[in-house]
Amino acid sequence: MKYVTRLTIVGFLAVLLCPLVSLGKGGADGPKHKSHLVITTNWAEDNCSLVDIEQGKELAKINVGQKPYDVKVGPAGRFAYVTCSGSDFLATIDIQAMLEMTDKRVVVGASPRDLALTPDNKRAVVACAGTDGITVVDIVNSRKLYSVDVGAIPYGIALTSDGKLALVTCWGANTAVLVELGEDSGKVLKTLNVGSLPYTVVISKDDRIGIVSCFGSHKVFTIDIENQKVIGQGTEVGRSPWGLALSGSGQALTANFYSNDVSVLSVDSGANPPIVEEARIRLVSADDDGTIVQRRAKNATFAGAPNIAVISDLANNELMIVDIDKKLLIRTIKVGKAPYGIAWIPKASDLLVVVKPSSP
Amino acid sequence: MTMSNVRKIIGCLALAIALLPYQAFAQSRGYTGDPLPFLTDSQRSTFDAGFELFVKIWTQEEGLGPHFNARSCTSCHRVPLPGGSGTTRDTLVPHSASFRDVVGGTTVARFSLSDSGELSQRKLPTITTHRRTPALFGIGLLEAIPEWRIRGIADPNDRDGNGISGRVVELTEGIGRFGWKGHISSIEDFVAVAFATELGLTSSQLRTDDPLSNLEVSDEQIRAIANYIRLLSQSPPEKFGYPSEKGQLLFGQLGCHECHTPSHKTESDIGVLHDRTIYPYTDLLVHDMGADLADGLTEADVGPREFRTPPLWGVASTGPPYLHDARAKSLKEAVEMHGGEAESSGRLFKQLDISHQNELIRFLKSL
Repeated sequence: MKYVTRLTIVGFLAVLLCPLVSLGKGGADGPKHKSHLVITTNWAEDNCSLVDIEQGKELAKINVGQKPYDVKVGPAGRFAYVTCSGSDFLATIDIQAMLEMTDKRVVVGASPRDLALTPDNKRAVVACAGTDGITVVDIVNSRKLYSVDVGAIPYGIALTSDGKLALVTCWGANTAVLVELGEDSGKVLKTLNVGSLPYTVVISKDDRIGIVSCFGSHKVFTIDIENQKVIGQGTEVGRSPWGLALSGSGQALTANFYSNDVSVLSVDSGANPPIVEEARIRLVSADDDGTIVQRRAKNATFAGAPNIAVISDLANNELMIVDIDKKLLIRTIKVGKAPYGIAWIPKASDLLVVVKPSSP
Repeated sequence: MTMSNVRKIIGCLALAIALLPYQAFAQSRGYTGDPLPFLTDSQRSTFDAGFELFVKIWTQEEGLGPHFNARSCTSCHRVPLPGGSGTTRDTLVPHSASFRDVVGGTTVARFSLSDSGELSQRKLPTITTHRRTPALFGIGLLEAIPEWRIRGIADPNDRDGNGISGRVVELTEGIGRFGWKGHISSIEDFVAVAFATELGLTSSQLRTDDPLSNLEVSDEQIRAIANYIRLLSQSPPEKFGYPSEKGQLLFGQLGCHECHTPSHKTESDIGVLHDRTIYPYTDLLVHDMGADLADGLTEADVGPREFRTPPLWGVASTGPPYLHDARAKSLKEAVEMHGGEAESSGRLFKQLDISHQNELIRFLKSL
């Protein structure tokens, strides 16, 4: 069934049922305005989970293409964009309808991995690991614009705040590549040697530095964007850093895959060194019988507050909600198989999410 | 009741019994790419040292080339983590029946480095087929399946009349276990062959034709990478899929277990590999898979229609695509394409209704 038809039906039913679900003891909880929503990609299930981290539960699963890898949400919080690494396209999800808009799929290249949205929310830039390039997509009109060859097996990508520069990690070459993004074409400005197996990258709010997680070196590397060079020899973090997240208030987080922890980094592009590991938070918990639960932190995002991080755990297929300031694992939430990508949904309070009726 | 039905019932019961301790064992492992559990400190160091070499990017100065397909093991063995499979076109290795590589095989190297370091694409011979990069998780455990056990399962003359005639690949250095044709006997051989044919790096095991060429990969490095691979754990089951009792029953009823043998017991001088009950779902034998799947190549004495039964553990996380040449875009397609000795299983699968097919696929994804 076409997306538009399904959306119409969903919308009609929502309008029809809204007055009913708001009534009655033992009936539905009624429509709630959610402000603590995140969305994850379940790589092994070919779907995404919509999760309420305040209530601690998965609200819905949304089918997408094969092997969904990364997800980013537009600033209005209505649409999410998902790279489907097994289907080679970029998918668009209507978060309120909890449906993929299948007519907006854009084929981007083999094995798309991380993506970044331009600040005007009109374009997405996707790293395509199987074609050694990045692809720029017009997400308003759902069409591919152009590609740029960057090097072997690009995985991570971040954009400067004006959307004109991209920093791309090339996992197969141990490099980070600066790319100028034009209206109709792009070009590589500089290729920089970083550590082994660079997966993810973020750029500081002031656009001065990039941070690259190097899975094989157990370090993050700092890039001086303006001067197009690597600063220092890298900062040691936990074992095999994979995901990165910026808090927007001077901190970053690395999800350290093989050491069961996250590193909290202070980020000050004017300081020397600009990145310092402040703390390492061990993600350890115990079952009711005292068995220690091993985890594998893959990806991270901050959930609208600089102290609350949401981290995906591949070993247990859960999200971990962590208070960075208190260094506390607050709760875990079951999601789908292999939660790879994760994004906080801004302005989720503007969405109307109908909660299913609770059991009498 | 026919003998065929009796065999199927016995197969289902055996499968169910074999899987009884499955859950308990599964909980003792972490994640894909982890080392085997309970390594000693020394073994852990060995694993870590081998990992460094596995992810290393080789340079021309170190001997890469002149003809090669990749600069690192992880260029191809990377999904979902280092040690994994290749799922994209750039990880498909070209092979040609009219070509002989440096070790007498059929691998075609696509790239060339000149003396001055200039990279170019080679003029290729007629490409007969492409081979998919397999995952390496659990390979050490497969190596530890005793030879007597594999020979015991083999039935090259189909004496039991079930239509399955898996045979052992006899090599001078032992029986074949690895590779799509089962033509490689040990992990060290696998590493040495891959270095020579995919990266153009010579080792003492496999010299190139040039007697003056220096060894570019030392025995120590070959051993280090082989030991890393040997100590790689298999993918933990049910991290990537959901169990299905109905699917498990169908697996037996369709006769899939006749080649995809669910479990084995290991024997090894290495403690962490010894006396383990493992669930790889392979008999490590080669079978005639029919004309449609034939790839036009012969390796050792394994002909174009013959392929070693690939293990199914971790199949959800190391594909799609599937089959030796990546022609199957889903597990469903892969099952439907089974021919030759597996033709009846493939046909029975196609006759199932969608819900039963989905249950079987769900079961495969849970392995």
